[in-house]
Amino acid sequence: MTLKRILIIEDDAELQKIYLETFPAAEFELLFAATGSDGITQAKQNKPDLVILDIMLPGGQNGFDVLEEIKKDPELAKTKIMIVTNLDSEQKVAFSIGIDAYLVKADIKLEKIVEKARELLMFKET
Amino acid sequence: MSDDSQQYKAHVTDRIDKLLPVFAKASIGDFSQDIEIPETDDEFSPLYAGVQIMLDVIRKQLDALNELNQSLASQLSEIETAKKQVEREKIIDEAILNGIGDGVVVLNSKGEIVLANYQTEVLLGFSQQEMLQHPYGEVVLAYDRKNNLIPTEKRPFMQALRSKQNYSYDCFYQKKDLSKLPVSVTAAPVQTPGEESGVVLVFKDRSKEHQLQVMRDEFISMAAHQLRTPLGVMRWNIELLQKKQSTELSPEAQEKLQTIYNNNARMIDMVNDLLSTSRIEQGRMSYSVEKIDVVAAIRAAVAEQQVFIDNKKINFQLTCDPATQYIVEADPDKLHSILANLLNNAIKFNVENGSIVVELTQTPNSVILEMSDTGIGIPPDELPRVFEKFYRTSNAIQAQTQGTGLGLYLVKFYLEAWKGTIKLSSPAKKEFKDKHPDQTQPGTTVVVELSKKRTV
Repeated sequence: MTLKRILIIEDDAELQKIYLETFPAAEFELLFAATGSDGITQAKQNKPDLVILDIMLPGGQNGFDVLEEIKKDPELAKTKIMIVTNLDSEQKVAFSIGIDAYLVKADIKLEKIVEKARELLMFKET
Repeated sequence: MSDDSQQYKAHVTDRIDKLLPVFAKASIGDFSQDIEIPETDDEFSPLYAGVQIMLDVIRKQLDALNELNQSLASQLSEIETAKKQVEREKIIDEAILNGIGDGVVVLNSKGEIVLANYQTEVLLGFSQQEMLQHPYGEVVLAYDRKNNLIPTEKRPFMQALRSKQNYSYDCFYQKKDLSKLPVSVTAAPVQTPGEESGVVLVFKDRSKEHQLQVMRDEFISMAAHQLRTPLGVMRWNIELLQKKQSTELSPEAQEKLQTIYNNNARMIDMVNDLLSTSRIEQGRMSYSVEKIDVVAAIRAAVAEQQVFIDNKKINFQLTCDPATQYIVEADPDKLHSILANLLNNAIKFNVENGSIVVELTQTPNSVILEMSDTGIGIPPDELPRVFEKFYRTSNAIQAQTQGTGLGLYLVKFYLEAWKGTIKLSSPAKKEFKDKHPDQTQPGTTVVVELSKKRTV
């Protein structure tokens, strides 16, 4: 079974650690970016199957900027995008730009993120 | 000429000379001189008497004229004084009207502007020319806090015109430069005798108040968001630990971990309540709609608070028909917040070994949830206030329970947003009390009606 590649764009180091512990290594390959611009670069380079994206990011580019860049790139057309953020007010805007899932950090069980990732990647055309 | 005629001529001359000073004075308007009537009676005597009578008559008429004159003069001066008074009052009125910090507008019965004070020009930017004689509803547009245009018929001045009652309202006026000014408007009908009615509008600039409110809401919103990050990290770390618990953690550690987890979840709920409140204030609350199984939603809320139920050894009971489904269309997060808040109150204000009974029934259009508890209840005089924002009852404070005072405020707000209702009674309903005769506390019964179809 090929590993599903997930790019996690998240600046909180503790959350990065939590993700690392949560996603089974036998199933997923995790890549991390802590800023929006690094996230864009890595997305273009590594063509992940799924991007887990935070909205509030340090530096000049926030999650929406990353989202727009990914949407513009035809090579990333098949990449699924899941926003995992603390902002619960941006759902509508995010879905209108084109995302596949929107989860609010404090409101969900950790397991839910893995479940959602599996669900999205299962339906992904290969 | 004979001596006689000479003498007579002298006599006549003498007689006439006596009259001359009187006539001389009369010619310059002085009728004060009496005629000296000669002692000897002769042919001039009637003339003298006649002139004297004329003099008397003239004097009397002059006196009367003078009197009239004087009274006219005094009336005139009174009128002058009154006129000055009116002018002064008008100047003062105008100064007051223009000096006060509020906009004052007077409208006629058709809602047209007949007067607008200086402050109205300053606050809204319209000139007198742009306002006078024009319909107020067209010159000054009003918006609600969600930035929707308020139709003219619904504006306070129209209501005041129609109902002849005072109306007050907070809204946003659109200025000439199209920016919005937050205002508090009071409309008072005026009825002057013999004229058609009108309205006096007074509007206060609410900018500073509004700005403070916005700052407060932004602060709450920011603080709550900031709190969510560490609370979320805590939650997920506990979940990671719990996955290992069976092998690596002692039963005591597992139990404590569960308590930490539940308290963390409560804190997240509270922070979310704060966020929701500030969002309501800002008119930014949004809803999604899903079909929800109410029984499952209740079970989920109970599971979250099971530890608190167990800690107090509370007997929880849910009665419903297992053969039927109770489905409503609602926002899942909001319904969860409603159930979690009601359940939390029933637990928090309950006694050790108390009871909570939830009964579900349904009508063609709604699902009815009734929750009764054996808790400390609500003092009767405080019942009407429990839905107020940040309100906490006196016995809740005495019992040293924790809470934000936002729970029921949010519950009611969410319910009303989708045409649901909530009724609270304390003591709890009789049937429930009868089944728990050993409980001494008054208890509370909450009846919530959830409409099956979302009709917003």
